[in-house]
Amino acid sequence: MAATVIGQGITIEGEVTATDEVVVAGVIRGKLTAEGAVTIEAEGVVEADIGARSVSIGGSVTGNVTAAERVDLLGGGKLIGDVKAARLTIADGASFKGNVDMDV
Amino acid sequence: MARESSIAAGTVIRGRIQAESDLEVLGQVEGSISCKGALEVGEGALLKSSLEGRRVVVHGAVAGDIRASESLVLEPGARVVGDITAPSIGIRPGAMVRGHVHTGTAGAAPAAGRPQQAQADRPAARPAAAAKAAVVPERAAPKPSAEAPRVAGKPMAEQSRLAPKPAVVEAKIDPPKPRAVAGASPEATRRMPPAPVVPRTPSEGQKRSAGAKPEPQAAPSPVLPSLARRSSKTTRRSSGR
Repeated sequence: MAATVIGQGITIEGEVTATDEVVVAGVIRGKLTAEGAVTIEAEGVVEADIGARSVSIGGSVTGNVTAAERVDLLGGGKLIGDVKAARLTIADGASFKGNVDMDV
Repeated sequence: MARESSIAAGTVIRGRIQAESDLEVLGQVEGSISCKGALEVGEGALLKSSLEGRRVVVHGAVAGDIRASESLVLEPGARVVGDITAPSIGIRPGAMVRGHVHTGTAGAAPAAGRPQQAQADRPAARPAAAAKAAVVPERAAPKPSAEAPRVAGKPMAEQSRLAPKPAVVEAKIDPPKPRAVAGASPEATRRMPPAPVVPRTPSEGQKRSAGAKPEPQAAPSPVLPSLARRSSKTTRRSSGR
């Protein structure tokens, strides 16, 4: 409930730090850090490094993604950047360019 | 997704937020917020930023100027340090404001014109206070605070005869001081360099003239050293003043 929602039409240029969940349907440029889950919806555009417990990407992300638990790149999602996470799923129809580090 | 945008309580944002739609802020923002829809600053929110919105409602704490193109409401529990500007402003009982309050139909024009009027109202007091703040920012902290109330007290007493303005003026006298001393330390630090520079340049000039002395002294003509001494004396006098 106490999620931070960056809705459509919202543009943030700077650093976002959250203790809970973050949902992005708008634009974030800078840096995004969350102790909870980060969800980038289909309309969302993130040009920032993302650090979170888990990251779900349905929109467009340009930047490195680091997750303590998992990263899900959904269909229609686009990721340009390196991924560091224990688990990674890339759905059919997603586009991805970058390196993967799964801490093997 | 017609989901309302919200900055949750535990969220800290440093930077600029531009919103085309409504925005609710419950967390912390340092920077600026520009909102074309309704902007609600919730209880527990802490904003160190300037706010712009069509309709702005404040329940929390804001350190910065607030400008609303339609309306601004400060609800009980709101704490605002900064100038507030809107065509219609509501300050509910229990809300605190420290700053210049400006209501008017046009947004930008009066905001630029009004301070000049306020300065014109009391031309003697304002520049003096400003000069003191600029010249003696932090070295002699007790002095300006002791002197400023006297300076501030006079125009307030004079202007208390004029009915509506004193509240505005009274509110306006306060903010510059905390900003200069405590509120905006960067401003103070920016002001600091110019003050030392003025005394330094003459002293450097003295050093240069003192450094220039040996050459004329070494020279056979007795006229030049005396001129140099005189010039150094004059620079000392001017620096003393």
